[in-house]
Amino acid sequence: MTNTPQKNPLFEITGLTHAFGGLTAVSDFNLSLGAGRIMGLIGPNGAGKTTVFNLITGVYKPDGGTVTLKGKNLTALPSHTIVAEGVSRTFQNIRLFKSMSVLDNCLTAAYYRLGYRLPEALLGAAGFRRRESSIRASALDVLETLGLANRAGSLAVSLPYGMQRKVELARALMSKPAVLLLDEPGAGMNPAELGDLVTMIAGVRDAFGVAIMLIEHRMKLVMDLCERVTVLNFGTTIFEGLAADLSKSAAVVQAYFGEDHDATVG
Amino acid sequence: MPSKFIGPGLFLCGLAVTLSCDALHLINPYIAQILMYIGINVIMTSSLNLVNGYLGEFSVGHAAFMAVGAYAAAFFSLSIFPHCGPLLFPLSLLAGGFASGIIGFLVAIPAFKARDDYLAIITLALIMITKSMFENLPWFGGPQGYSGIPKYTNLSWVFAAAVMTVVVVRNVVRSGFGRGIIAVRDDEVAATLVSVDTRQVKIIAFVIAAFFAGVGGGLFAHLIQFINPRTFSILKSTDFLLMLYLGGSATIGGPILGAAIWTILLEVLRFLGVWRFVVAPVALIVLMVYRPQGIMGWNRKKRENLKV
Repeated sequence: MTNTPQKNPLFEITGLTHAFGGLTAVSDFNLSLGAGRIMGLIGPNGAGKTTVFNLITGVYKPDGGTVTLKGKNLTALPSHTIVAEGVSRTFQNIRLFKSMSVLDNCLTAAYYRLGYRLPEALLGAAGFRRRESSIRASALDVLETLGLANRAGSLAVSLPYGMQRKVELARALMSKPAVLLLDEPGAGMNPAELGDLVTMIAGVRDAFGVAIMLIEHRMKLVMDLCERVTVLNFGTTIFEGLAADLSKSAAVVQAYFGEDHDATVG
Repeated sequence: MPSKFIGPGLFLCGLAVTLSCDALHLINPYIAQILMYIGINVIMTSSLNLVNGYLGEFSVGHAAFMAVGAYAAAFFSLSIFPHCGPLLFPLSLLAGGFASGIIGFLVAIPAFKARDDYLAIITLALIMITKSMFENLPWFGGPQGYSGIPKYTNLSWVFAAAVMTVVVVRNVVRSGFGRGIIAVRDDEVAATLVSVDTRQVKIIAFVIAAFFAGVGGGLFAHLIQFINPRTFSILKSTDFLLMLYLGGSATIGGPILGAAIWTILLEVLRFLGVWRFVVAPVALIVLMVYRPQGIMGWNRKKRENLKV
């Protein structure tokens, strides 16, 4: 198995392990991701992919292992601090703030960099108003980049499904991440929308300079975007390497298609 | 006139009117009393709105915060500066606010973990604790109540405090902290994962709500001049809940409207005697059936485009 970690990677995970009671959901998960790279995390249902995201973002506390970003250990920090440090994510089931406009959804993600204190906000001080308008301008910029500027005032949950996914992406970008975790961005999209999504994710990587880790079942999206891929099955890593080598791995073929099949992934 | 002077201008006009009413006794004392009740109820309901409307919790403990504020402010007026007259009244009110704010902070801590029904039970316990505390502490007259409180509350103080409460609540809600509060209501997990410090926003909501409830309690104590622990029972909390949901929670205007309508309704229906406590709640039930979001509450489905 080819495994060539980059020197001084931006984002590194070593030995990440987590069990729910007796069930080991993730065991000894390793990853090294350089700035501006896109990697795919794939595997059958229940393989532990989303659990990996939940461990990285502090939703669950890992039983073992470390997550480091730019040399800083993020393991066991509270979720909101992890986001502030530069790891943000989207959700498999869209989780937008249902009473808020598209713009307010994005603005909420600037919580850690409001740049004013509560008393200033209470009094409506000049510094508060200046910061609010600059945060608002940066949110409108992000929305513009994703082609959502004309929907800024719409109630986020009233938008069509595909657009809601974009709003989640915009919200995740608002916290200025160095690493972006996308949980099944292509779920529920038709082939045409999927093509647009590939262009958009690549565009986001270029425009915002983020490294992207994505969970996906749609192999077209993975093959088009990801240089390297990690495959999980029952919580263990069964493949780590170049996406192009994926179909050559007997373990992967077996995990997806069972034994005694002459088939390839793709 | 630039728009930013309109608000303060209106406030000063209102203050001038209430000051002259107080000084020259322009208004019939009965009407003045009702107006002051409305003002105090606006303070109570607007502050409750921060927790029950924007944060989306269900606190039934607002009467307890009011009690702490009422007793603390009365204690300051009677024992700390007894011969200073109404001059130091604002300090008594602030003392009531701060005392209550501290209790608000203590309630925010269980709210880190508990939500919904559980938080309602915790705040219910708070009411019982404060009631028995004031019944048993020796300095406040015990169950007989705390009497001899000077009548410092007048229209001007109530007006100023009510405006301040509404403005502060509005400013919080429109700030990044307010977006954090609303995000916790909409989806707490998603809120933490977009960098909202959920503990911080809960503390902010509870402490500010409790502070203004304490100020409202101080005004109340110096208006009716006699308080006892039974005044601040769960029924008192229910009044504020009622006004909040009547007017429309999570709106700025709703609590004001709800407080005004409910207070006036109970007075107008006074001729019905004890039956007003039947008629008014029935009116409320009818309203909730046909307009569950409250009078000012907006219907999400009908509101496609929000203000940018």
